[in-house]
Amino acid sequence: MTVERAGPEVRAKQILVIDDTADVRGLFVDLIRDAGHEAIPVALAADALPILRRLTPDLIVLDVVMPRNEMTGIDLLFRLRRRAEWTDIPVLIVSSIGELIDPEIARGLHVHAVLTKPVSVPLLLEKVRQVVGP
Amino acid sequence: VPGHDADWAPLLSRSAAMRGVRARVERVADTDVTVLIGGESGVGKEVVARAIHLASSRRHRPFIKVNCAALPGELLESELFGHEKGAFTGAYRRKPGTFELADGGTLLLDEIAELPLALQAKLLHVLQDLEFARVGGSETTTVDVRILAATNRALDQAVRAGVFREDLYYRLKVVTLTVPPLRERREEIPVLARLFVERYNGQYSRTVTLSEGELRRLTAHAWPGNVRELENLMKRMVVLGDTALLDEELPPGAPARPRGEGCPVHPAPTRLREIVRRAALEAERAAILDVLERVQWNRAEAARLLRISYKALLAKIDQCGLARKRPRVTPPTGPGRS
Repeated sequence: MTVERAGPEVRAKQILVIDDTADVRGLFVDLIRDAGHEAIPVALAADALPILRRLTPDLIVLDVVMPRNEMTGIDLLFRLRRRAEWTDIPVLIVSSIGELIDPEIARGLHVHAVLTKPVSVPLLLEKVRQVVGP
Repeated sequence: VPGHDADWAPLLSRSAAMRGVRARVERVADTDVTVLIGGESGVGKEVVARAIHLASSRRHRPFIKVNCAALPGELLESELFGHEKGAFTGAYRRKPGTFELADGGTLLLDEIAELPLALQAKLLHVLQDLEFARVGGSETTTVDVRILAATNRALDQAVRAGVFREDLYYRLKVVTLTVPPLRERREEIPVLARLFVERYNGQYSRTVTLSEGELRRLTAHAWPGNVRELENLMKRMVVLGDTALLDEELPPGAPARPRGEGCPVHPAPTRLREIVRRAALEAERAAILDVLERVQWNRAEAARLLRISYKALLAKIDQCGLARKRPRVTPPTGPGRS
């Protein structure tokens, strides 16, 4: 995958959208693109790793629950925070078990916000805006 | 759900607290997310773990529980991760560990706070990379196991005391499910008591019944040993064949005391033998609690000071319904980095 990057002052913000449900992933990607950003769809948390080795996104919208025996969104989050160059990538968790995630631990892992599915579209866009700007 | 209703008693109630627990069980069941199940001794943490397993797509595969406090470190390592032939004296053949035996299923690590530090590092590695090496081996094995952990101790205190890795604590605590003590859901007590009486009546061919007055007394009791204590009392009562046991165990008017502040106070019993027995129990309990508090609940150290075996101490702690006082809540300082 080749990602064209323009100068920092003009380039669109890059947002990784990780969700194993195609419909949800497609919806989030459309919403983010409509908001003027570049959305990179990723089906599985593990698939994000090779992408992250090539580019540093401005935000990761992260689902937690993945198919059985696949790396979960939580696993990916811990991997991100263990690597110096990935530590500061903002993460927005959007998950069906969002409200079960310990908020203090999430804050400690520099998660910008944890949203629970079904998520309200204006709330999702507001949280995205808080991180990457309008 | 298989088995007798009483097997699932801790989950069956209609109290708001347990409805919340059940809802969480359903939400997390069909995910592979690691869940930390907290709650005092006897509240039914294993039942909750089994319910998560049975509601998941892993239900046709094994559910294995390992008590991290039951074995010394080196045996526990071999129990969990298996060993290669010749890994240590007596390792005559390769033996798979519970991580391999639970393949495709669920592994419950009970009393996770007691996991030795060296094994905490190995567990963290499994959680991060889903692979491990057997004791004495260098080859890594990948596993397809959902890991659940249970504790009746406040892990944050264990972290502060330096006996639990902070990074593992963070890893386990992301999704926590806390089972409330029975005294915080008293409305369940009559339902549970009847369920246990019915079960043991069937098992021991008895016809013991509880009166409304007896149910009220059961409901007023503090139950420091929670559902397990209630079940044990109902079992003994049924085995003895009458409810007179309740007069000894639950004297009328005994104040309901919170856990950790002393055994239930009984009115002056009439039999000398009974007076001596209770005094001995109270003295034993006070001595154990004193030592535990002095060593910040390091149970291995407490067992050494009390000159009893570690296992015997665990049994006494359970028997006396001892638990650490509720910890002060302090926010985490940040995630562990490695």
